[in-house]
Amino acid sequence: MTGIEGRRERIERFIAGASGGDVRIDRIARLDGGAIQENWGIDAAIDGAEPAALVLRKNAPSGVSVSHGRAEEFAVLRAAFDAGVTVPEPLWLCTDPDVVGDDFYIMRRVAGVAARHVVAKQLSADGGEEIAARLGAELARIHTIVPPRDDLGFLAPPPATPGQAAIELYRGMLDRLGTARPVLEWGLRGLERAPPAAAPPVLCHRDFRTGNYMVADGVLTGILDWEFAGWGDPHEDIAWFCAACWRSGNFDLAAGGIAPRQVFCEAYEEASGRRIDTRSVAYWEVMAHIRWAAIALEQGQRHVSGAEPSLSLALTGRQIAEIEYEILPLMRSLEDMAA
Amino acid sequence: MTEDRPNRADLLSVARQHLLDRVLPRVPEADRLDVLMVANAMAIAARESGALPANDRAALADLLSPGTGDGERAAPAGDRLDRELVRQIRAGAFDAPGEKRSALLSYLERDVTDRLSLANPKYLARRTGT
Repeated sequence: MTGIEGRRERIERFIAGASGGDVRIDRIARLDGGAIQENWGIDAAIDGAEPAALVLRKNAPSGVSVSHGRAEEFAVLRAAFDAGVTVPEPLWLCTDPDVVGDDFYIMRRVAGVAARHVVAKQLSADGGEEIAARLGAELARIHTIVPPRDDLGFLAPPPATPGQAAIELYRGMLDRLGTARPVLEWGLRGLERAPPAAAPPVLCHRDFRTGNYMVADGVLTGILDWEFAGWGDPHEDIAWFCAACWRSGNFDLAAGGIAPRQVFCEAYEEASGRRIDTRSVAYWEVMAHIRWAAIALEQGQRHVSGAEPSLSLALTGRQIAEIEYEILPLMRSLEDMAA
Repeated sequence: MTEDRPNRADLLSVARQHLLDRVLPRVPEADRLDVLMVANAMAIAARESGALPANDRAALADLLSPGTGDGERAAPAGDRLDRELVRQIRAGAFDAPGEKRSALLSYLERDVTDRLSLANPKYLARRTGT
């Protein structure tokens, strides 16, 4: 994949058209992260003002099967921004393939670090509770976005039973991969027999976890990676954030590996005015591991099939044992709660 | 064919040690993660080329067709056994509390623990507090 540095003039023209000002790009450089998208940092002076720090986000060559395209992600980001969620401000969407060869959008660049292990290490040592509480309030704010919404009309309608819809989705993924995973099936069957209490649908981020938010000097600067967002049960996001697989080894700090679970949950309850259903969270925490397992298997398969030979994908595929290992005790505690 | 030494486990092990002891210290900070990933892949492969945990396929076969699993019958390919197990779990064959369900749970626990001990023994140790 060639870079977009050679498209500087076209990007300048696009920003000029979208912003209505004269534009000079001083710098374009690829940013870290993003196996699914490419993020490019751009410094652009508009109408002779101080250069603005921007990010251009476009598709990368390989994708995950269930993620949105850039136009949809832009609309979700706009909805989150308008709801007051701390996100990089979305500025302009471009669907003209002549500019960089694919859909992209431009947003403001926020400062800080997102890398999961770095953030978990820093915040578990210092300042984690503050950020976890802030994230609880941010998630509550995301969940104020509810259907129906014309601007989010491309999202699949809210499922009548989000749990069962997820079970069918992940069984389908496993079937398509052609892999027989008894532990995952054990979890799926157990979930099928013990559905959670119904909850009114909200906009779920679906990848709300340590690694997908930026922190600068102990302050939350932005929630990132909205490509999986959709209507669902709010407990799904709470459980994903707390799932053991995202704690970076800080197993005692259930809130994203940075703080005790109750710090996050109390902040969410206070900001949302809603009680969290503990059993629903336990249910979705099993589902979180099944989902991550299915994605890890999919990534491993991209290597094994020869489609995309990669050490990183190969090692992700071999994380399956540790993901499955978490599922059996989680199922036991879920069953104890049902009893 | 007789096996010459160093064999594959020896070679993987010494190559990995060389990578970590001799190469890694000279690698720029930005590339350290790449080297550690290579070392991790080599460690998994080295563990798997050594003695593997005893395969529990007889127990699995017995679980699927009680009474026939004497451990000696012609075992279907492992993959086919897993497929049959998945089919039965989905169909609810292990829903009812009782011996069959407990036997499946014990089997799944042993199987996942054995696989984790190969893929990531440090993770297992941290999770079991050993």
